[in-house]
This record gives sequence, structure tokens and C-alpha cells, in this order.
Amino acid sequence: MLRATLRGIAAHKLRLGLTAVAIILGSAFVAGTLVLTDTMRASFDAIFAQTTSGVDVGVRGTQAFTSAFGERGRVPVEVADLLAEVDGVAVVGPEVEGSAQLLDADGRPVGGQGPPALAFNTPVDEEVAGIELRDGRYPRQAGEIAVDAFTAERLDLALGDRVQVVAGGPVRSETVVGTIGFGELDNLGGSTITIFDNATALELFGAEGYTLVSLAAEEDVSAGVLLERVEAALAEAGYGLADPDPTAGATADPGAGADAAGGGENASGALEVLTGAELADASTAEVGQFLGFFTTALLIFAGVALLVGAFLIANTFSIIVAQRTRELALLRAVGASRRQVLVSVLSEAALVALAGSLLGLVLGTALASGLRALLDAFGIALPASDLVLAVRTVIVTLTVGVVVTLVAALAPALKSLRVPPVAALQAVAAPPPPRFGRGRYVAAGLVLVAGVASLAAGLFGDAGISAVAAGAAITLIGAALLAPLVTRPLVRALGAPVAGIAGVRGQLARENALRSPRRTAATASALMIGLALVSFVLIFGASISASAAAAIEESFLAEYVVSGPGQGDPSAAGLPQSAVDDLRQLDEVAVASPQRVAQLRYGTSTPFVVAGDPDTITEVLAIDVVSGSLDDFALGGVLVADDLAERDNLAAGDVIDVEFATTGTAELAVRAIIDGEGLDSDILLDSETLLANVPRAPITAISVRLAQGTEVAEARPALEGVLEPYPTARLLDRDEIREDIQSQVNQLLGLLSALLAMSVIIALFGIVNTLSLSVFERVRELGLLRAVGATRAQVRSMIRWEAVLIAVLGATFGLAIGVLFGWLVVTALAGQGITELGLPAGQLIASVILAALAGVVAAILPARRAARTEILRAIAAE
Amino acid sequence: MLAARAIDVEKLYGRGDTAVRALDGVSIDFAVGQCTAVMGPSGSGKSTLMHCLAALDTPTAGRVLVGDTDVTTMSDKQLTILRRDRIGFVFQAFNLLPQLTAAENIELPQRLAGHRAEPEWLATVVTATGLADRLNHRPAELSGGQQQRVAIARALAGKPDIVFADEPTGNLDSQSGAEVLGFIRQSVDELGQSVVMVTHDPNAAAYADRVVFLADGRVVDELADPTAETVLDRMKGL
Ligand SMILES: Nc1ncnc2c1ncn2[C@@H]1O[C@H](COP(=O)(O)OP(=O)(O)OP(=O)(O)O)[C@@H](O)[C@H]1O
Ligand SMILES: [Mg+2]
Repeated sequence: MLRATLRGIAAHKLRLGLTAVAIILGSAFVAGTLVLTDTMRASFDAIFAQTTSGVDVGVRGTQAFTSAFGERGRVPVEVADLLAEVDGVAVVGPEVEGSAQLLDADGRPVGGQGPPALAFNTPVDEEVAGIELRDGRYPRQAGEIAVDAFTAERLDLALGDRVQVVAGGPVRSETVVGTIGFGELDNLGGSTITIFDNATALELFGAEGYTLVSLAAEEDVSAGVLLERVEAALAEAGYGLADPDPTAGATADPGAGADAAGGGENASGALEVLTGAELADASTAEVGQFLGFFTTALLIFAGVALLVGAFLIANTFSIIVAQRTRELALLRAVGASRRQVLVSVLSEAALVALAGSLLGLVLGTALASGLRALLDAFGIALPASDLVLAVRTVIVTLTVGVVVTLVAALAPALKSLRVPPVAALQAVAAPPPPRFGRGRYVAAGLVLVAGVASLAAGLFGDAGISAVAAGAAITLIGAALLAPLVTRPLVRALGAPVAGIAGVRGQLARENALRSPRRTAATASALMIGLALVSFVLIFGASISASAAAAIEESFLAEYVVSGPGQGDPSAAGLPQSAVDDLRQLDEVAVASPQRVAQLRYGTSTPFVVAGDPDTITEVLAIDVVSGSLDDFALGGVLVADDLAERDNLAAGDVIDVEFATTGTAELAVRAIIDGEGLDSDILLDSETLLANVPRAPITAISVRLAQGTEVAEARPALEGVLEPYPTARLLDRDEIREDIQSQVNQLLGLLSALLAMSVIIALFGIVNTLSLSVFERVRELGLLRAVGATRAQVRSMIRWEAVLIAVLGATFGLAIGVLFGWLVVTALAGQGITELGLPAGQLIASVILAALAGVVAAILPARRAARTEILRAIAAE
Repeated sequence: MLAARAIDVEKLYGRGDTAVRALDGVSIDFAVGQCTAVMGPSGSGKSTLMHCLAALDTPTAGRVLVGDTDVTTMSDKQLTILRRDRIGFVFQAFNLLPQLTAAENIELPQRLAGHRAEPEWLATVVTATGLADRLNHRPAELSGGQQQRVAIARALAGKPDIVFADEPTGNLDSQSGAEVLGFIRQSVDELGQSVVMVTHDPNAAAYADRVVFLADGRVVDELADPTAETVLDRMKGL
């Protein structure tokens, strides 16, 4: 039987090749994701190993939870002196880390859109700091900086050049006196790095103390011994010590230091003491968490691609089995058992799957290195470590590829069992597949309902995100199972204009598509998945934009907003208070209300909260009070959105417990319950409370209300003038805010669509596959058509129109499901500020047209093959 | 006036030692408005001749003319259009597209040319073939004889210069065969159609105005105004 299987594979090279494409692309995505993230992880490992290689012990503050801002308690300046006294300490390397944005010659910020723009003080000891001078010298006084070699090259900076830097205040003019590197690396994962002299760094970023004090031990002292001595010395001096937790403080007890008496002024935060290795591990774990999200996100797209691939594989195998009815019957007639036939079909699938996923593995690795090259081109330099192909990646890729294929091939294989031996004697080689029974449609309907139910449970109930994902997948499968039911009428309807445009070719295309509605539906369904997700993403994006626009319309009272740098990157430096003060000086400005963002722990979650200035916030934001009063907000405390209040049974006058990353728990008074619609966060904090707990919380935006009688356009020059010293600030009027949101949404949509493109491409191979197999099946008809006078071009056109019909059918299905998904999700997120359901008709129609064009592309090969049909051979074909 | 001509047509299949000379210098003229039967033993080259005459295949040597047009020098596209507009063809089996109705099959060449058949002519052909009440049926819903009649109707619908039929009754019982042959005869007599048909059956050949005998790729004999008996006699003589 194995020989029969191998022969079968050889005989069906083309169709199996096309099936393999589905497996290859699907598994390549899986492999590529794993290889890329493994490689990135290894790269970061290398970075952290490099930057901590000279550190034996590190002392730093604690954090209550991992915040996106990376906030952590500081080490009081005098601790450095205390540590120098500890027996066995060879070098004390105090470190201040902050954020500084370099500007290019045109005054535009460089970097910081992704990898951070970091700033450090001049290292006391290069080895301890993990930094080395490449060229020139370290800065010695204010006005001098050193930058990383990569950034220097990118900005074309030479020693002695002047460059503008923004570090939390007005723009500074600095002279580049040196370039630095990190071991062999010119750059740390794409971040731009600026080194200031110690005094300036402390002034800019170190008011509350050092971010880290690194220690190198004397030669005969081990890291472990030094760690104990340092802990003892700190404890003796009255500092609270927290257990360092490499997983970044999920369980760290922030209260540990709160009660510690004496010591530095920063007594509320404890200190943690780690070895260099632990320090590296902790950093790696933090990055690992981020990479974990990244991996999951990419794997979701890989999963979608595989789901589409599974449709394609199932479809191909069922066509192959149908076409091989005779051959299989012959096998049965000459004595092969049902089991042998089943094994033959399944082992064919398994062999193709194995070959396909192996190729996918290779392609995926190439994909990963391509992606890395792409990142490199964007300045996200990863260390030149080799691509990491873990055993896990190989196993996962092969298993996924083979299992998905076998599952997909199982139904067609089982169908092959029902081929009776007498079929070998019947004249018609491929009997039309039996009509789908009513019972099966009922079952398919139930699958669809179950999918939507799971989706709804995840969206509206507490079933969580995995219920949403599973629900979406099940809904798509149910829709695909139901699709044949509506295929006939839909193809008829879609085919009417086609027959009108393309005459008899269009009519033949329609009739061909109608011949096996199940096959057509299955092929279209593969495309449906991609288009459902694309149209969902489009609808979701449009809804976000529309909701934001509505929120601006309804509750945003300011005429202008000044937006800080690093939109979406909370660790970016933000705008300085001086910008607010400067704006307030203007006659044109009635109110300038700063807004800050922070992260805190509330219950089990760590939401982002917006902090506003109680005196001015009502001037720029229309807040609808549900209960309580805004008057007391100035006393400090929080405003809580009605949804959250309802969920947690909160009322004005209650007190909620929250935890800040560095200062620990705080009790905040609920001053009022407000209408949450149009708000960015469910908890609105007063800025004073925030600053008391997060002193460096950046101003992310300043809302500007113009003085009475000032025209919006007239005010712009004055505002721009005041903002001149803050080149990272962007002045936006209401329309520009909308456009800004729109463009951010579009950027996200672009990225998501690009990732979904993979599944659309796989679905296109499905069309190629089905059409090739149909062409193969219909040689005789094609020959006859040519004999009675159809030109090659007409034959090609006929196949093309069939492809277009299938593609548009799939797009129609996809659109229907996408609208359903969009409606469900938007309805579910009504409480999270997505209040409007946007239907971007233009984009949706464009995606259908693109699908149709893609169908034309998919038809190229099958059409060419069909047009090459040799008339006489086709006529002679048995 | 000739409907078609074969001049020293040769057709070789394969190469070298295994080459088969299917046609070995065939020259025949087919007059307008005449029905010619082509007979001969199996493998004598009848189908090959029909394919070469009908521009479905190109001869290795010699020339084929349809009307005054030399087919042998034409491009694939020109040949296709020639077949569509000036030649009708009826195969032994599988003449129809299963996804189209009888009416759509009949009109297929005209529709491919981008126009409709002349309605009166179409009505004449449909009536003559007795298909009026079967026009909306798909081939699968028609009997073998009906299917062949649809094929003949298609071949006639475009008023071609000449119709070729390769064993049009080969798969039919004698009753349906007689129906089809009667209709072919009628189209020659009443519509002035030129027809060339291949057959093994002396009774079928008797419907023709002339019989041409092939053997080993050559024309070996000819008979005018045949009857079943004279044809049978000649066949015995070969
Ligand atoms: N495609 C081909 N390749 C090689 N040889 C061929 C091919 N087609 C026909 N032949 C050979 O050419 C010769 C003539 O074949 P043709 O089909 O014309 O015979 P025929 O007279 O129609 O026979 P029949 O009455 O059985 O239909 C035969 O010997 C046949 O084997
Ligand atoms: Mg023959």
C-alpha cells in the first residue's frame, strides 16, 4: 500500500503541490514567529548579560507591579556613600536613568517611536556600567553629551557637533564629545542613548535618587558574600529590604519598607539587593513578558493562517478523493480492505504534511531573518546573534502542520471508504458528491450558533478572551459548513451581472461555479475567514475613530490640545510643567489643563488612569456627574466611571484601595460617579495625588481653552510661538485630533491587514487549487469548447470569471461575518468608550473589489492550463 | 463550387520506427450541397481525415481548403474562428456541455462569436431536429439520440460552409440512428447543407449522395448514389 501511496503522490504532483503550499505557508508563519521571538529573547539575554557582566551586586528600589512606565523606587543618593564603605566593595557605580530625545537637524525627534530614547549619567566605571567609550571622551560638564555609536552614525554626528536634546524641559543645545558602545554592540535594541555628565543627569533625572547602584566586588570576594554584606549594611542603616523577585515584583511586598524607621528621606520605598546575574534575569523576565504578548499576537495570526490552510487542505483532499473514486474503487475491487484505502489516503496526507511543514520550517526561519533585517533597517538593531532554531520550534511546527493536515484530510478520507468497488466499473469517474442533507445543515447551524454564543459569552460575560477566540473560530467553521446552502442563490445573483458583462463566458463561469456548490462554498470559505477578519478590523477601526470623534464632539471642550512625544509609549518623557505655565501666560489662552497618565493597581488589575488638574479639568472636559459632586475633587481623590462603579458597587463618598508602583497602597476617596462615555479611563485621578505617588508622571497632553472672543485659527501662531522650545510637542486643533486618531487607527489597521494578508494569500492558493483541479476534471468540456470555436482567450476569461465569482462569494460571506463580529465587539465595548458602530463602506467595498482582483490573479495559472487544452486529446480522453 | 478540399494530405503520428502514417496522400473534393459518407476499416484514417478537414488538427503535408480558404497556413486563433463561424462538427459522443441547456448548447458558437443566431433559422433548425419541447433540458435529461440531434442542430445553427460528423450514430440504436440520419439528409435536401460523415454502417452510408472508401490512409474507392446493397458489395470487394 505504501507504494500505491507514493505512486498516488507522484501522480497528483500538482494538486498535492498546491496543498503543500497551504501547509508550507501556515507552518512557516508558526515557525517564523517562534524563531523571531526566540532570537529576540536571546538577543535581549545577550544585551543584559553584556550590560551586567561587570556587576557583582546591584541595589535598586522596588516596584509593586510591573508598570508600563517602568517606575521603580529610587536609591537615596547617600546610599552610594554608605555602600562604598562596605567591606569588599571595589567600585560603586551609581546610575541615573532617564529619557532624553535627540532632535535631528530639522528639529524632529529621532527614535523613541518604539524603542525608547534613554539617558544615563557618565559611568564611574565602564565595566560596572557595561558601557565603553568608542570615540572622544565622556561629558564632564553641562552642555556636553555622548551618544551611542549607532545613533551618531544615523544622525551623522561627529565629535564637536552641536545637537538639540529634549530631556523633560525646554530644548537643550548640547555638544557631542564622545560616542559609546556596549561591548560589541553599537546600540541596545534600537534605543537611542544619551549620556550626560553626572551633575546634569542627577539634576534632570535624579532628584529622588539613583535608579541603580551597581557594585563590583574586590577580587577575593564573591558576589554572594558581597550581597550579604550589603544587605547587612543597609539593614543596619535602617533601610527596608525587599525580597528581589526576578519576575518583577508581582509578589513583592511594597509595605516592607514603609514602616522602616530612619534612613533616607525616601523611606516609603524599600530597596532590593540583587547579584548581577539576578539583575540580568529580572530584566530578561520583564522583556520576556513583553515578548510573550508579541509571540501570542503573532501566533494568533499564524493560527488564522493555519485555519485557512486547513480549509484549503480539506477541500483539496475531498476533490482528490472524488476524482480518485475510480482508482480507489479499483483498489477495493482487487481486494484492498477499507482500512488499507483509508491508510493510503491518510498516509498520502501525512507525507505531504511532513514535507510541507519541513519546508515551512525552512521558510519560517528565512521569514524570521527577513523580519529581523527589516527591524534592522528601521534602526532596531538586534545583536548579531544567530537565529535561534529551538528544538521546540521544530517540534511545534511539524506537529501543528501534520496534525492540522490530518484533521483536515480525515473527512475526505472517511468519504473514500464509502466508495463501493462497483464504482470502478461505472462510466462516470467522479460522481457528484451527495447533496448535503437537511440534518447536516441543522448541525452546521448549531455550530454557528454555538460559535456566536461562545463569542458573546467571552465579550459580554466573564468567559474571557479565549472564549472570544474560540467563538470566532467556531463561528467561522459553522459559517463555512452552512455556506453551501446559500451558495446556489448567491452565485446565481452574483453571476447575473457577470453573464451580462462577459456573455456566454460569464454564463459558463457561473454554471461551472454552480456545479458543485460544496466545492465552490468550501473554496470561498477559505477566503471568507481572511475577509471576515479584515472587515472586522476595518469596522472596529472605523468604530474607534467614529467614537473618538463623537467623544471629542460631545465632551471635549478645548479648542486645542498640545500632545506630548511618544504617543502610545507611556515611558516617553512627556511634556514639562513649564510648557503648561508658558501657555497660561498667553492672553489668548483662558485655560491650559495638563493631563497625566499613570498605571496603578486596582483590585486584581493594573489599569491606566488619567490624572487631571481639578481646578481646570471641567473647563476642558464636559463631565456628567451621576452622583456626588465635583467640588470635592480639588481635595484630592478620584472620579469613577458609572460602569466601574456599578460593577464594584461604588458610590460617592466611598474609599477605594489602590496601589502605586513605587509608593505602595493608598486610600483614595471617591468624590463623584461620572458618566464614563467618552472617557479614556474608568478612574480619573487628581494630579496632586498622582504626583505625590508618581513624581515623574509625564504630562501626556495639555488641553487649551482659548480666551473668549479669540478665533481658533488666530490663536495658532501665538501658541506655536510659545511651544517653540518644546519641539516634541504637537499642537492639534479639534480636526487635527480627529485626524491624528484616524491616522493612528489606520496605522494599526495597516499592520493588522498586512498580517491577515497571509491568510488571504493562502485562501487564494485555495482558489488556484480548486480551479486547477476543476480544469483537470473538465478537459473534455474545454476541448469541446475549443472545438466549437472558443478562442484561448475566451477559455481563459471563463476561468477568470469563475475565480472572480468564487472570490466575491467568499468576500460576501466574509463581509457578513465581519459585520457580525464588528457589531458584537462594538456592542460589548460600549462601556469602554466605543459607542459608535462605524461601517466604512468605501473600505469594505474596496476589500471586495480587491478580493475579486485577487481572484483574477489566482486564475492565471489554471486559466493558462485550461487554454492549453489540446482539443483532440481532450476529445479522445475517455 | 466546392465546400471543402483535401489535396495530397498526409498525416504522420510519432517519429522514426514507430511512426504511423494515418493519412498517406489523400485528395478528395466535397461539393456544396452534397452529403458524402467516408467508410473504411478501423484504423484506416477516417477520424484523422475529419479532424484535418475540420481544422481540429493540422496535416503533416498537403493542403486543406474550406471553401476557398487554405486552412493549413492559419494561426490557432484563425483556425478557432474558422471552426466557430464556418464549420460544424458532430462527434461520436460527448458533444454537449453538461452545464448548458439544449438551447444554450445549440447557440454556443454564435454566443462565443458575440452574436445570436438568426431566430428564424434557429426555429427552422429546432423544428427540423424535433427539439422544440426539449430546449430547456440539460444534456443529462436527454436521450442519446436527442443529444446527437442537439449536436447536429448546433452544427447547423451557424449556417456553416460544411458539417463534419464522425460516426454520429455510432452510439445509437437503429431507431435513433435512423432519426439522426434522416435529419442529416433533410438538412442537405431542404437546407442545402454540405455534410461529410464517417460511418461503418452501410445502411447509414445509403443516406449519402456519395461514399468514399479509405484503407491504410488512402482513398481506395468511390461510389455515387449508394444503397445499402451496393455499399456492402464494395466493402466485400475491398
Ligand atoms: N494521436 C495519435 N497518436 C498516434 N497514432 C494515432 C493517433 N491517432 C490515430 N492514430 C493512428 O492513426 C491511424 C488512423 O487512426 P484513425 O483514428 O484516423 O482511424 P479511424 O479510421 O477513425 O478508425 P476507427 O474506425 O476505429 O475510428 C491508426 O492506426 C491510429 O492508431
Ligand atoms: Mg474513428
